[in-house]
Amino acid sequence: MMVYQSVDFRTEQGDLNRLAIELARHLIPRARPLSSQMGNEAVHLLLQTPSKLTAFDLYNRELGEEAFEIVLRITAELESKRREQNNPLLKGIQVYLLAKHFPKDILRRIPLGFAEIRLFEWSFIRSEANDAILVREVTKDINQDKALNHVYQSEPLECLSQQHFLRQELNTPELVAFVRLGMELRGCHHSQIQRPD
Amino acid sequence: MKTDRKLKRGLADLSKLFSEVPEPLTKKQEVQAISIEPPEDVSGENRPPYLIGATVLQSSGIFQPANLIDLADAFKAAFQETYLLTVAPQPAQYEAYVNLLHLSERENFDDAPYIQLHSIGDQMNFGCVSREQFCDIVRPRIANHPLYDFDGSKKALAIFDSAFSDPITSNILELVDHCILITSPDSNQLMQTYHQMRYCLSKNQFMRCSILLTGRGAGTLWELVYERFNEIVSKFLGCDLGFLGWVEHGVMQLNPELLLEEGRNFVQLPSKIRLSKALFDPILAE
Repeated sequence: MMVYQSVDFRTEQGDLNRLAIELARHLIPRARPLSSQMGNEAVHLLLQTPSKLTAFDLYNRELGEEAFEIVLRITAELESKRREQNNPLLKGIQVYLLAKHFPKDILRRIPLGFAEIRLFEWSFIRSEANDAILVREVTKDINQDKALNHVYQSEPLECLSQQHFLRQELNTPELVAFVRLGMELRGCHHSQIQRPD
Repeated sequence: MKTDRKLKRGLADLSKLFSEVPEPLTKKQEVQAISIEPPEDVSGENRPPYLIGATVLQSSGIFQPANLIDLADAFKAAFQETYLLTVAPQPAQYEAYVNLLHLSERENFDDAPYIQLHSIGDQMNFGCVSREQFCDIVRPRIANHPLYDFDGSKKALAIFDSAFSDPITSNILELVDHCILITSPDSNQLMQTYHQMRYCLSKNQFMRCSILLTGRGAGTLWELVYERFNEIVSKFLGCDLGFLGWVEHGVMQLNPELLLEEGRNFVQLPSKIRLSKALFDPILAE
């Protein structure tokens, strides 16, 4: 059995760029690269699939609060580029955002509804013989959680008022039984009044 | 030498299987005495009591929060712990409890991560359960069924005061073992109680219903009322009715042992376990 351990990915910018391209090939096999931008801790690739313009952003660190802003900024830029191209085949946009980690509270807040946004956590792992990249999509967790919440919210607790109990009418034998009980109780109450303690 | 003797001797020489006294093919295993030691913790001191759930329904507003607190207090004799729980109370209802129980200040129980319990006497606690907390108990986000090691020799009672919630949360009915129906010796009230009982049984067929008679004539007419009402219930609803007791002019005669009987609704077990954890775990952790 091969045992891998998570290690820090400390390499040159070129390595990060190559890694981004490799990951993009793996995750979006049909995509064609249009452009790339390299920063100190991130690589931004612009890709195109037959029907979508795709942003592929790889960060070599954890993304906290800024993930929210990054998603909004990338989505806005991508949509404007799609319109600029005026290509009827480009029917949508999608964002792939990869980082070392996304805090759970950030994941809950990130808007996923208005574009196809997929978030991945990645880590560099190493065994005695091999280096590898472990990629895990966290958007599925969010969607699952939201689906659960949806079910949870769509089935509110059933509440009922006192009137609810009276919806079902009594049948004749039941009514007769209660009339008899009523007459008997009235008799008892009368006799109690006539014979006070 | 005779032939048969000669033959026998020859076979015995071939194998021990043909010898006159056959040896057992397998040796008898020596039987070892095995003693099974009892588990170390048999005292059950650290195990929580088995939780029995009950709710209170009334056909009119004759039973007030103060009466319910007295009722819960009277149940203490039969249970190790008694919990009076109110689910998502209305502001006026909560204020009534704050005043009656001398709670220090209004707490924001809606945002509390767990049920905040207040000790309101010996072995008696009061707690407000927010709507979200109650949802997590009856409809958890993650459907897990954790094991919970109850001490079967001890029992605790959780009373939900749904009598004072309008509208009441019917999901309480799915969670409890007993339904206490508060009624009076009046045919209209009894008919209303009958409707309630029929609805309760439709939500939880394993629920045990019992009546608590209050109002004028409760102390004198209880035998007649119980006998006649039980006849109707057993005839048309096909179940037994328990008689919990009566209250009249501040005098209370109760049979709390009636509530000791455990429900047989295994469907509610996961919810009961979650409620038990919510109630007991903070205490056990102390």
